[in-house]
Amino acid sequence: MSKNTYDAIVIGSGISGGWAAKELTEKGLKVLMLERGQNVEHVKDYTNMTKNLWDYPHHGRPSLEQLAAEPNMARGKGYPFNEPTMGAWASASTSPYVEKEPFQWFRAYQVGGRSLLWGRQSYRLNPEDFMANGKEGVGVDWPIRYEDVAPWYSYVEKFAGISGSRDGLDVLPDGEFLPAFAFNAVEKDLQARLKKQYKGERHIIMGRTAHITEQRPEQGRVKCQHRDKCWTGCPFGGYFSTQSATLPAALKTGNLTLRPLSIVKELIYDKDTKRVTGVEIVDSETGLTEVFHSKIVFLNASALNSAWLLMNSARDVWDNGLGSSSGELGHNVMDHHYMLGGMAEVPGHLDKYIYGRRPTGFYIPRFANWGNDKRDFLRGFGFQGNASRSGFSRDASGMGIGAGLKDGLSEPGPWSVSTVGFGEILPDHRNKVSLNHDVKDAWGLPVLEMDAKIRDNELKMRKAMKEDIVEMFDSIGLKNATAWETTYHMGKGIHEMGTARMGRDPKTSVLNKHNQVWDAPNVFVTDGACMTSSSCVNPSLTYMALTARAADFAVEELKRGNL
Amino acid sequence: MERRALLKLIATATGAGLVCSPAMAVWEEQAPLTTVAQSGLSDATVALITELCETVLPRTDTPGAKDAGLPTFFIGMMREGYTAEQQKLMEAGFADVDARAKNQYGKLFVSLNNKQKTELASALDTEALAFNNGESTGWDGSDYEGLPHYFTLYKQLMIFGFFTSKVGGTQVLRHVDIPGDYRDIEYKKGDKAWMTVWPL
Repeated sequence: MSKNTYDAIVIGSGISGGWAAKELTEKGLKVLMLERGQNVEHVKDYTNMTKNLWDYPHHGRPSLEQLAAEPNMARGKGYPFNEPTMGAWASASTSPYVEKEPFQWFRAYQVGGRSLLWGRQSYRLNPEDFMANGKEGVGVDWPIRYEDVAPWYSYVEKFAGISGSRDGLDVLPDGEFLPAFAFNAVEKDLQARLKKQYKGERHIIMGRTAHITEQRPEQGRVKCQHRDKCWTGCPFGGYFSTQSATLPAALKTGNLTLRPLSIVKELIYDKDTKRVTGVEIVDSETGLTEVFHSKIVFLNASALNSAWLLMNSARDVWDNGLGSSSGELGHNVMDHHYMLGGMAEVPGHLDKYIYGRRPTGFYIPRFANWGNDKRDFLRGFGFQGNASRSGFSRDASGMGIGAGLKDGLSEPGPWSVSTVGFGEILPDHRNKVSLNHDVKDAWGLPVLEMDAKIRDNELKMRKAMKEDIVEMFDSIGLKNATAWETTYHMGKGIHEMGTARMGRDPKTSVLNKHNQVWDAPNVFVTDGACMTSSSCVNPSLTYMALTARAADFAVEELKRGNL
Repeated sequence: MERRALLKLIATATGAGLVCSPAMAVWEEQAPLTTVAQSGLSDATVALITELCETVLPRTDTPGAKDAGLPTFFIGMMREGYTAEQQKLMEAGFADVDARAKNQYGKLFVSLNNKQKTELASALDTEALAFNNGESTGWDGSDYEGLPHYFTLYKQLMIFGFFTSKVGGTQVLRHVDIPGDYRDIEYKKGDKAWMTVWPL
C-alpha cells in the first residue's frame, strides 16, 4: 500500500470514532484515525487524575479571569467548566462559532474527545423511540427499528462494560449488564415508596453507567474505585473511554495508524464514481496540508463538526456541500433540554451515612406519554438524581461563627434528594447549523453558525417536568419539595444530534439505514449527526451500537465490491 | 487556558509554525493564586484578615483557619474570584470592622482579646442576616446596591476556602483518596463529614 493510502479513514477519536477504529481494524482493514487535537496517552497524560481540590489554585472554582477567557462555556451554571477540567474543553478563542440563537458548545479537541469527559450514562432507546416519528408525523421515520439495533447494543455493552440492573421495563430495555452500583439506604426507601405510590408505573432504578464493576485484566482495566474523579481521566480505566477500551483494542491489531493534530478540511469527492476518495487535512501544529486516500471514510467528528465537514466538502457539486441534496444537512439539530429538576428534604435516617463516592446516581425512566399517561405534549423525559447528606456547602447563615460553626459544618447535614431532568427535543427543520464564511478559526477555516432553539413542545414539557417532580416528592412524604430551573440554551445538554439524519428517502434524509451518505455511499456517519430523533435517554450507547453495526456492513460491502 | 490560546493566536497571526504546542498538558496547569505580597493589601489589613479568619473558624481540638492557610487563600481569592465592586465592598468592610473595634473597645480588631473578637464578629454575623433581610442595621451599604453585607461575603469565602484546604479537608473533614466501593455506614453524632472532590 502506498504512503498515505489506507483501507479506511476514521475522522474523530471520541466515543464513536474509537468504536469505528476498533471494529474496522479487527476486521482486518488498515485504518488511519485522524484527530484534530493533541494526543492523550492513557494514564500518563491524565495530569489532574490524583489532585484534590486543594491542589488547584482556586480550589477548583474558576476565577473571574478564567471565566472571562471562555464566555461561551462560562454562561449560566456551566457544570463542566471548572478548574479540574480546564483545558480539556476546546477554546472558542481559537475555534470560534457564531450564535444566531444562544448555543453552548462543549467540544473536546484531543485524542479520546468527549469520551474522557462524558457523563457515562448508558441507555438503550426503546422500540417506541424508533417508531414515534413515523406514527406522529414528526420529522421523518427512522429507517431502522429496535430489533435492528438490539444485537448491536448487546455487542457494544459487553465490550464497553455497562453496569446496571435488569429492571424489566418496556420503556427502558435491559441489556448485557455488569453488576449495578449500590443504592444507599435512603434511596432504597424512596424507590419502594415511589413504586407503591404509582402502582409500578414509575420507578427509581440505578443509573446504567459505562463503568466496569468487575475486574477486566484482559482489557488492562481495574474496576471502578469510586473516586468520582472521572473527568480528569481514570488511571484504573474504570470507565469506558477511547483510551481505556477501544484504542488499545484497535492498536493491538497492528492495523491502526493514529494521527493527532490533523484537522480534516474537506472530503475529496469524485463526481464520476460518486465516491469520496480521501481527505485533505491541515496539520494544526505546522499549518501544512496533506492528503490521505482510502476506500471508505467513517465520519465521527461529533454531530456538529461532522455536519461542518460535509458542508465544507464537494461544494463545486452542491452549493451546500456533500450530502446536502435533500436540503436536510445541518438541519434538525437536537439536544436534550435540561437545567431543571427538583429537590426535597428527606426527614430522618440520621443514623445512616455513606462510604465512598459513587460516580453515578439513580434514574427515573420516562413515564410521561407512556402507557395510560397522556399529556398535552409529545414524547417524554427522565430524571437523574441521588439522595445524600449535605456537606459544608449547605446554608450556614444561621450557624453563627466560631467553634460552633466549624464543628457544625464538619458534620454532615440532613438528607435530601436532588434530581435533574432530561427531556426529548423534537427534530425541527428550522433548527439548523450552517457555514459562516465571514468568521474564520485559527486555521483560516469557516466556522459554524448556530440557529436552533427549543420550541412549544419542549416548553410545555419543561413545565410538566417541574410539576411532576414536585408532585412525586410530595406524594411519597418528602418535605419542602421544590422545582428549580435555570437558563437552558441548545447545546448545553452536550448531546448534539440530528444534523445528518438517517431516513428511508434520499429526498428527506442525509443518510440511509446503514449510515451511508446517500450522495456518497462510501462515507458512513455514525456519531450523533445520524440521529433521526433524540429519545430522552443519554445517546452515546446508541452511537456505539450504530457504529459497530455500520462497520460490519461496510466491511461486507467492501468484500462484495459495492463500495 | 489563556496561555495556550494566546500562543495559538500569535502563531497564526505571525504565520509561524507551532499553532498548537502538544508540549502542554490537555488538563492545563493553572497559574498560581495571587499572593499576599501581590494583593496590594497593607500589612495591617492582612493582619486583620488573618484574625478575622481565625475568629470565624478557630483552632479547637481540630485545626483552625491559620493552620489551614486560610488567610492567604482568602486574600488571593478575594482578588481573583470577586468583581471590582465586590472587592471594594470587602475592603470597606475591613475599615468598618476596625472602626467598630475602636468604637467599642478603643483598639484595632487585631489587638482585641479572643472574647472581644468573637463578640464583635458574632454581632456582625447577626447583623449581616438582618441586613440581607432588608432590615435597617449598623451597616449602611447604600454605596453597594445589590450586594449583601460584607460579612456575608467573608463568611462564604472563609467556609469554602477552609473546608477545601488540605488541612480542612483531611483533618476537620474526612477524606479517602481511593474508597474502593460505596456502601451504607452507621452514623453517630460527632462523626465527620466527607470531603468533596468537585468544586461547589
